[in-house]
Amino acid sequence: MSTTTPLIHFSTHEKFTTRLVLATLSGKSIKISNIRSDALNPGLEDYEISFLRLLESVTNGSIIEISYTGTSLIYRPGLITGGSFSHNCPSSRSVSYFIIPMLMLAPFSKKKFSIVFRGLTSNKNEVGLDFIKWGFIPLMDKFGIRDVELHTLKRGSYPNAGGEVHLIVNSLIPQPITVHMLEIPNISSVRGIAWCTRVSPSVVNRLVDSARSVLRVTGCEVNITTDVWRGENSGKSPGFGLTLFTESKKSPLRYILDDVAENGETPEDLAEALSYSFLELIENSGCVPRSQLEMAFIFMVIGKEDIGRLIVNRDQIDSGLVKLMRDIKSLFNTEFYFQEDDEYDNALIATCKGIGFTNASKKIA
Amino acid sequence: LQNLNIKKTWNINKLIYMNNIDPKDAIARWKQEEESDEENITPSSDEGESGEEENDEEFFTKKEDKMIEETNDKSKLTLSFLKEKWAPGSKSLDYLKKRFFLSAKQRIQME
Repeated sequence: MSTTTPLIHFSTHEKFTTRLVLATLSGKSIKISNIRSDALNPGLEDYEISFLRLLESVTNGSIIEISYTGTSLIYRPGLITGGSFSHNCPSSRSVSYFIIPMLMLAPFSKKKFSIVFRGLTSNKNEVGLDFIKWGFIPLMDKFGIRDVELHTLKRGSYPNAGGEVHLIVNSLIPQPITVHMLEIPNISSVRGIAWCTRVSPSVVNRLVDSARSVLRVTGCEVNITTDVWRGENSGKSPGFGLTLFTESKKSPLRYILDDVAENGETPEDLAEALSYSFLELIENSGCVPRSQLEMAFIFMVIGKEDIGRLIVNRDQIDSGLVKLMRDIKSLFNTEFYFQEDDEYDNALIATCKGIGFTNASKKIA
Repeated sequence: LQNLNIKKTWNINKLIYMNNIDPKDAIARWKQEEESDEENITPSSDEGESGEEENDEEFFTKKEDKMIEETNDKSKLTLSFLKEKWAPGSKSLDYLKKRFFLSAKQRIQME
């Protein structure tokens, strides 16, 4: 990769992983400056450094230059090569921080991805493993990326972690397929997973009972399974959490939400708050929940040179999504267009023309 | 730009790509949360120019780094508000129920 290619400038550490993923997919070099330049601990955090190491491992020919203070970074992407290896994640962030960006790179790799992540498998304010399994992977399926597996070998709760997860992406495709998701699906049932590590198994039953009592008002079937981890496979810290998601007969996509307990939080409090937030999420979502919208937008952009359409709720358009769309424009020079939807209340149709991205290691017929 | 007197409905398609408007402001303008008479276009944080207007005190006061919340849908609404909103018989719940597919048996049970 030539070092004379012009750099595209970004500022602050916001959307750090997404910007690096977009740069890798677009093949354009970026410079990120002002990384916590006014913070007590300026510069890159340990998890960001760890992510850069991971990015270096899954690509060939990438050049990463970090300034002496760590407050600016130049990234010149190479080719996505994938491969089999393991990655130790710092306990400051959960493994999902590393897995989700890999899901966006893996389908366009030269070789299959088989990565074992070691670290924290659940963290407050971050999505968990069940969220990825039941939320992100079905979304990838909608874009034609199949054969993605995430195996939980060990669960590792906050703070001491000890979890182990195996990500396998066998599907290598030239480009995502164009989607037209113009129907908000009806929900046939609510499902969930209540899990715990190194605590009494009765905790998961309390989570299930409490969530059921809230969700009963919908009149819908509620099926929550329990997942109790014991012994060596349960990591180094006690913890518990709950993931709730919808099932629909017509669409593989799910509305999904999860949470983990923090110090002193009872299972009843956690399940009750999550269940109400879950109803709120269903009300305020288009085809997919907000957390999956960024992945959907990125796959829409790198799709075929055709118009993709996706229904979003007005409330889902926030500053984070605006930042993403600006970043997409900087790197791919393509724009999203929103228009009113007549069929559903509070809904907009997001349209975007794919850039006709081609996987460097695949030939398109 | 500073004395723009904007009295119109903002178009989201234009606001998204106006780099001179901070994304948060763009959303606020779109949702008409701001007083349109007193609007001033503030430079985006990505522009890197906001630092020039800081006074000395602010410059030397180091700020604690905030953890950025990413990809999480957890509502910031209070539990009491949510309980009230989703109470049996509430409008929100009745409206949401239309999106749930119920079997004949479930319908009878609900009735």
